[in-house]
Amino acid sequence: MNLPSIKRVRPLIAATYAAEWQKHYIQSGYVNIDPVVRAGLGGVLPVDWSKIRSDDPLVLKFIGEAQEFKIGRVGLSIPIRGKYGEFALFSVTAEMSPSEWQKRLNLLSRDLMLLAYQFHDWAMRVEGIATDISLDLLTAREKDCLRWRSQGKTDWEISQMIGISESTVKFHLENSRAKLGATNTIHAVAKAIVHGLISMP
Amino acid sequence: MVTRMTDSIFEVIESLSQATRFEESNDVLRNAIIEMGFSHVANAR
Repeated sequence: MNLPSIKRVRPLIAATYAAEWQKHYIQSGYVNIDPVVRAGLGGVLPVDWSKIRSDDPLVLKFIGEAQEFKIGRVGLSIPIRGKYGEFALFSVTAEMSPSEWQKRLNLLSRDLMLLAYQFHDWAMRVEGIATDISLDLLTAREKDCLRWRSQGKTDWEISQMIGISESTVKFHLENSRAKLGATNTIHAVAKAIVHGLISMP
Repeated sequence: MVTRMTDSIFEVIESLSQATRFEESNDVLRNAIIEMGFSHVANAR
């Protein structure tokens, strides 16, 4: 919503929602009312829609209309803040019970974060805002740590597998994140995969 | 707890990295989230 060097009169939205809902959302100025956007702007963690509570009549009206357009009974929004000062909000929704939803999130939340960061990076590159990174940027140890992290290993597990201390693993992952211009380790994994710095399993 | 990323997500990332237009990337995203059992995906910037 604040991409550098790009002046937009409204946020760029790519969505599978009904076109009528997207038009209604923009025309009604719902970006200023949407509680998910508010929560996303105010934090860095994914926002589970089921955790949002509001008594604000405008918000309740917004939620009611969203349901009429079948946006989804449940949803998750992932806030992304990039190194250029940009902000994005990546959301997925579903029509399922809260218990099914929690199971799905437990299984796929990291996949979703990876997808969100990757899509954001892709958009930044396509718009010419971000530049490619140097392919020989990472050390062998940093690649090792990222590769094992992509396999879901904890810092401690990685330390045991490659024979270094847990604090050194944290050090390598933090270095990787900084070198790749990633906002967190998942983002760094995504960038490393896309640029061929670590191989896919 | 650190959950493992699923194998299929790496294929999605690969497809996404090869897209050159928003229409292509949206198709990749839409297909991916439907495969994952979700209904909609949105990205606002």
